[in-house]
Amino acid sequence: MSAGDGRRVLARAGRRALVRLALPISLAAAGCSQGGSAGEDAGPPASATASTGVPAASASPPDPGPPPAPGPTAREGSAVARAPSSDALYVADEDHRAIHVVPLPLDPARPARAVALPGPPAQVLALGDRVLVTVRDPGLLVVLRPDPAAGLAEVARVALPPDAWGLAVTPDGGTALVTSAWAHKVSAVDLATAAPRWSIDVAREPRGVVVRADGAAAYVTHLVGAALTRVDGLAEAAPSARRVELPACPLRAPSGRALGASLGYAAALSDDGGRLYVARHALGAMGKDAWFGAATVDVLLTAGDAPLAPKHFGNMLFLRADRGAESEEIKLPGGPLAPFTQPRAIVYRKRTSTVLVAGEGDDLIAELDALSADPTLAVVRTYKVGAGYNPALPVASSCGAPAGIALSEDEATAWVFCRATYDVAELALDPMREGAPFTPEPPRTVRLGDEPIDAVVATGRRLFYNATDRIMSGGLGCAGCHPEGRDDGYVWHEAKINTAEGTAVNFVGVPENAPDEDRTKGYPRRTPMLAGRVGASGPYGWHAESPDLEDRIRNGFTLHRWGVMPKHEQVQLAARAGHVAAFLRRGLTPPPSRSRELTPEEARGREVFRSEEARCSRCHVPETGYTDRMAYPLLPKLAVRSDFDDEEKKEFKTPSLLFVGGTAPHFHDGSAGSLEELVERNGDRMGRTSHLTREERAALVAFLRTL
Amino acid sequence: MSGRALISLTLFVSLLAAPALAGPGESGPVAPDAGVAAIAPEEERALDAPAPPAERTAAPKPAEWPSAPRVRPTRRGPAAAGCRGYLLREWLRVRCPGETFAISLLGSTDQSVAFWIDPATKEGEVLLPLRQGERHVVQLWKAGKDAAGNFMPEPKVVLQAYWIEGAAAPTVTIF
Repeated sequence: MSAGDGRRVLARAGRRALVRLALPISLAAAGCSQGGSAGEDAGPPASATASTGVPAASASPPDPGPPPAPGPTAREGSAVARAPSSDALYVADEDHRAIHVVPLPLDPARPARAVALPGPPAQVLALGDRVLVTVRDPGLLVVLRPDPAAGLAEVARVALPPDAWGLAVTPDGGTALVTSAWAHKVSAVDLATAAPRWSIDVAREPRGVVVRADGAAAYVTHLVGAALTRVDGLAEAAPSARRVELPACPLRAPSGRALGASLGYAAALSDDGGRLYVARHALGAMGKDAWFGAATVDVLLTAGDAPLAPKHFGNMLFLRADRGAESEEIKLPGGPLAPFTQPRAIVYRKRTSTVLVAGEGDDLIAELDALSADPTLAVVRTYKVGAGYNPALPVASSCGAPAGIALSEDEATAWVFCRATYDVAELALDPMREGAPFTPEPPRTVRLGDEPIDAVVATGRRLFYNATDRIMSGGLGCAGCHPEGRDDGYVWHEAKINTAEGTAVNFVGVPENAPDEDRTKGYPRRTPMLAGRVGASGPYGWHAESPDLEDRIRNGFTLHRWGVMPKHEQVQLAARAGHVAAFLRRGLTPPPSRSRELTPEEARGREVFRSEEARCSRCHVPETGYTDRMAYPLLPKLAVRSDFDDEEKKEFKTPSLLFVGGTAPHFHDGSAGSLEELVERNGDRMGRTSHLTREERAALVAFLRTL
Repeated sequence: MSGRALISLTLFVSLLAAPALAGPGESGPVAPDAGVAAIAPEEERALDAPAPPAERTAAPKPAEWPSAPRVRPTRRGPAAAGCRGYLLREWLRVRCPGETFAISLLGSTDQSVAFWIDPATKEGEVLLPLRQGERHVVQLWKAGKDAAGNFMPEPKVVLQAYWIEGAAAPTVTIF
């Protein structure tokens, strides 16, 4: 047909149009910062020592009779793992500092057995005859074996850098890889000898780890930043780590931008090893009311370490039947922002070529098509696991905050561990047979333990994870930006937004999240770490504008949404803030830290810090968490970042320096990428450091890292 | 749609995506002359039976489409149950039944994607090349209403098509 016959309408992308786009996109990409670069603000190398031969907790010897145990049920750790014999689940329950051995088939009448651990566990992985568990504090890999009497008996424990979290084994089963989140390390452990082989430094908050099918390299996800870390030479004595770019949710990115990411807890490989699925949160991803971005599953092609999804350009081709004008809404993916919120775990379902993602914030498991370039745009099914919602404080009393998924051998069943309510849910999965209708059944659940802390804190914890309460936030839970009470390493934009309901001041991930007509870039607001830093009565806020923590939390409820807060009773607000404050103070676990003798350099740094010349300790008062909680003019003002508005207020509250060594970037605008950079550029803005020698500056930084 | 309406819409599209609309005899994709209904229904074949050729060719002429075989997407969700795909050389043409309000290219590595909305049936249609290394994501929209009853476009289906370098065949999903 020809264009002129009036029967059809044709739209074409023109070569010239794309050429015009290409230049600004490449320029923008070159300058894109995603935070948390490898080696940035890194601490000193950790030493790893083996501790083998730890006596077993039970005298029962292993039965030598049976045939060789079946292979591992997964090569990546999770909060829940199925025993190869399929007669039990192993659940890593951090809050109870235990592994629960849950008999299968799941039956509430058959209680689980709790096996105490030397610290809070993060992940568990079931091999043929051993069960591996990472322990956060002290950092350990604990090796256990199934034991008829005790459930599990310890075989060995291997000391690792603090905050041991993610876990994977090589295809030959000979080596375990462990990420240490706070220590930003990846370590290898020889499982035959239960001895550490190496430990290397990587970027902030490494979490999930996946070994390639060839066993030669591993990918590591991070809680902070979009880039992955690839570790090569796993079998060698000195492996190497390098950064692999994987921009988050490219189809929802503003034109020419590469989005940052957070919540990179987990990744999963396809059956053939050709694709790596990374579940996380895309900061600033665009869509309807997307102030915070959107959850995503980004696919990396492992053959060339390249993203699968194509880029989105702002001027991309579109066609409207009504000949209407250009509108942003149809140039971005439509419908819900994402099929899940705050991804916490992901598994690959080989039988159906799908991935299952645990949504911590909305208490569901989303099943996505793993063949699609953007699986979040190809939702196969969602399974609601949360139940028993409290009408006053709408959090689940059953299966809240799913955090781990394990599949049955035939992949017809999924077991989900829910960290907010300490239960395991059993889901019958859609068999996805053509012509066979499927109706999800409510999951069967088994409770694993009582609340380890009082009801006020327990409710606060459930609220902290929950993203569905419209009073607390607009679609993202507290844990979305403060995972585990830590921080996302991101600098948000505090911007004015006009909506039909009125004008509001909200946080947005990127300026493009704000409406076109009154777009401002917003003031920079670096997410603060909460764990271990909120004991003081007040004040709180970057400008010390909140007299106490509860007030700050209520302010957060208004800031962390799109537009104005829906109508509510004040008492509702106060109740939520009270519960959350109790959890922040009594329920969060600060990062691991040990009192130790300072090195000579660190001791010299402490002298500098406390000296009358440098004056650091005048405001960063050691006795009160290294802050005096007062706001002072930050003069001369920090240079205005090009992607933010200039802020009239010059006064900023002295931030606590506790854990400052692990919370780069620094300042309210995140303009200092490392402590070295901060001290180097400080001059006499905060205290006086311009007179310090190079050695004294290095010593000061070394001391700050010990706080 | 009247001829005048088409011209103004054509102009609108041309402004967005220069160069202007290609007609017969020009290079680039051309709207198929024959309607989908004119294509004899037949069994869908797999995308790898055989896989599209490696050679780059110009978009098929309208007269070529009636002989195009139907192909089965790699995966198709319930919303795309009625969508039909046709493959001619490396050119995939997908038509989905039901009224289409809009079509948008969400992401692509190539400029050869084209789409149409039939002014009579309002059905949307997409034409794109399946070549090694290329990726395309296209969304079809339908008319919907918001909570207040006002018009609001709603997602209809998302077409994702790509061919990974070295893979035996392209992948096409419609959800």
